[in-house]
Amino acid sequence: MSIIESAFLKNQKEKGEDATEEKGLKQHANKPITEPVTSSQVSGGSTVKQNIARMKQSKLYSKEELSERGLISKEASDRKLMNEYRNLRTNLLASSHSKNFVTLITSIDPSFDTSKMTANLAATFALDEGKTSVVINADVNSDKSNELFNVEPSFGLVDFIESDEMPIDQVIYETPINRLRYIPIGLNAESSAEHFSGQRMKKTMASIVARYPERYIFVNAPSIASSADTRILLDISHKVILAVPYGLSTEEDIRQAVLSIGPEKLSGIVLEEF
Amino acid sequence: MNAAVEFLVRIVIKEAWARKKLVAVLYILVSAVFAALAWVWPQVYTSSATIIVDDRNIIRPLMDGTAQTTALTEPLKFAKQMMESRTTLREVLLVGGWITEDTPQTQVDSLIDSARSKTEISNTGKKIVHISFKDRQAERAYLAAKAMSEIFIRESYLTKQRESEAAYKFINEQAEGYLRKLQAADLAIKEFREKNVDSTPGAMQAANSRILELTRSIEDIDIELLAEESKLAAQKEQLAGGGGAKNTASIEREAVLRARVTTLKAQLEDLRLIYKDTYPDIVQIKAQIASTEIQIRREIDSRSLNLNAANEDLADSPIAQALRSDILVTETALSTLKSRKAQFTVLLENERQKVNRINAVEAEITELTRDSTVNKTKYNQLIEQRESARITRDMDRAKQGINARIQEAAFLPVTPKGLRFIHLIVIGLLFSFGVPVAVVFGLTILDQKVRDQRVISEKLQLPVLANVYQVKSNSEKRADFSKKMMIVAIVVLTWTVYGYEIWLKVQG
Repeated sequence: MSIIESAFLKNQKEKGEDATEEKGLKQHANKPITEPVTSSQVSGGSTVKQNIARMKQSKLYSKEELSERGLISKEASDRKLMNEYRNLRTNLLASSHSKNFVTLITSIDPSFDTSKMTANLAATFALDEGKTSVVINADVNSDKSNELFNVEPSFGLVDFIESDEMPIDQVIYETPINRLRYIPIGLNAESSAEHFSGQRMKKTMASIVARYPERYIFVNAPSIASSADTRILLDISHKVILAVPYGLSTEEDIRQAVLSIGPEKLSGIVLEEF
Repeated sequence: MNAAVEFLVRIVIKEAWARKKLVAVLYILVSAVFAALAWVWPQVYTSSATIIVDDRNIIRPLMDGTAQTTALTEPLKFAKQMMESRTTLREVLLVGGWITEDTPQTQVDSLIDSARSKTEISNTGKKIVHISFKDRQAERAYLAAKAMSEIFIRESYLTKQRESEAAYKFINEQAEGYLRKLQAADLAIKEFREKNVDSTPGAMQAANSRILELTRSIEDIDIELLAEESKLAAQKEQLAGGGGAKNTASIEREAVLRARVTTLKAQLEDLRLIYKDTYPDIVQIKAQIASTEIQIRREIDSRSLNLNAANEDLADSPIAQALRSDILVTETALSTLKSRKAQFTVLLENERQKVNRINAVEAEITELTRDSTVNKTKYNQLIEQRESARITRDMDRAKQGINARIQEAAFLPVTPKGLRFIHLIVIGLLFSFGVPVAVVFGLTILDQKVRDQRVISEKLQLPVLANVYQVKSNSEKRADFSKKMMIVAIVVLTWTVYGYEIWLKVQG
């Protein structure tokens, strides 16, 4: 997190818009967070950081590997893109009432895949040593995320939802990016199936959110224009980002998409290649 | 750069990149079309001549008032009319070698039409006319322009000459006409005068004085006549015993009687001094006086009664004889006077008639003279004008009246005019970029897709969180680079082709 960004967020807090929220945050902070540690006794930001630092990390992408996949990193030469994502992060954090939240990223058009945008947004959150992020791929038709994170999953979100016994850890994959975890869609997923409509999905999301207060969840959803899944996923998300690529949609398309999402859920629009 | 323009350029570049293949195909196509067009485009050569028409030459001030130095008032109009004319164009075609005398008429007609469209006439100011001619052959363009300018000069002089010739001829005819009229009028006066000799100048005055004289003479005669007549009457009366001559005896007797009365009265007065009236002498005297007075009265009465008996005294008296001779003389004089008066009256009447005649003649002559005067004035004017016209005509004949000259002679064009090879090459180079850009821009406008961030943030009022883009992987970068290289190669290749074409053209 940049200095300016910190200052901005601090300022937001100092305004004391919601004192109880702050309280809530602290309560959250007391809860156990990171996987490798059972940290019921730990409290305070620095402890969180220490805990996060202890996250298991076997392999990391090199700078070349990152740029080959089009992912941003601290070392990346493209400062402009980096700043755009940082602004996006700041915007999201500034408008959040709870410590962590679920962000749904959906495209205006099925021809535009939001996997990379989701990955980059999650990576931007994970740049901060005090935060972790999880990318959930909810797009049945896209396995791009697997390539991005260099993961060959045996199980995924759908498997977890469908199965009663499977522990959540089994579907959370480590990625070659620091502090970033990945939940793939799963091998048995079918596009027609109403995987996300059940109570189990809601509970899953709630549990993931509740488990680690500094963990931010990013759901890579199918296009709002084509998928019923996305409409269901809207319910379990706190924030929705609508990705609008350059020259792909008309004003009317955008208006329709915004209406489908609902203006109160929509955090904003992220333009692609404008 | 203006923000809107910058945005536009960015959009076009993006769209062109997105439609690389279309752009490339269009680029190659347009370039090829223009390269081919430039190769086959006919070269048009233009030759032009400039003519100055000026009437301000040295002659004008010198001849001011004597002759009219006329310029072509509208040289442009004149040139246009001239170049519209078939004869002119036919001549130009002959000179340029398009046709010969044997060329069939239909072909000549179409050639004349095309020559008309190849001719261009313009002007700078009122006095400078440009004539230009276009043709695919430089030589012919030159010949045609030259011929046209020369015909213009020739025709302008000819026109002026014809004009002044016609003017002179007209004025001359008019002058001669008036001369004839004038001569006729003078002749009429002469003839009339001959017919009316009396009515020479001064005849009127003479006649008038004669009338006066005659009138006076007649008046004199009248007076004389009156005198003679009264004389005759008196003489006749005298002869008849009337008047003084007839009563002389009676008067003498009366005088004696009166003297007696006077004497008697004096006696009476003397007697009365002594006697009473009853005195017999007195009574007697009184009776005598009374009887004498009666006698006197009788004398007077007899005189006044003019008793003829008394004339008898005169009948043979010498007085009567003298009277008779006098009466004869008087009667003769009277007769003479009467005949003179009659003669004079006739003369007067003649003179009066003459005056009337003279008046009529004078009126006629005045009329005739007026005609003559009017004709004379006109004729004199016309003679002057005819001389001016003659000088003008002579000046035009000597080509001095106007000053039309070729300011800039037609030249043999070296470089073709109009849309040329090099223009087409330049247009080709520009259009090869312009057309794809225009097409891409058109497509962009047509598809109505959102390409402007402002549409979302300002028009739709939606929050824009970020504007991200894909980080190009190295392989993608390499692919892009090779595509860019490909485009550059296409452009370079096109330019090479153009360069080669230019080189070929330059080499001929």
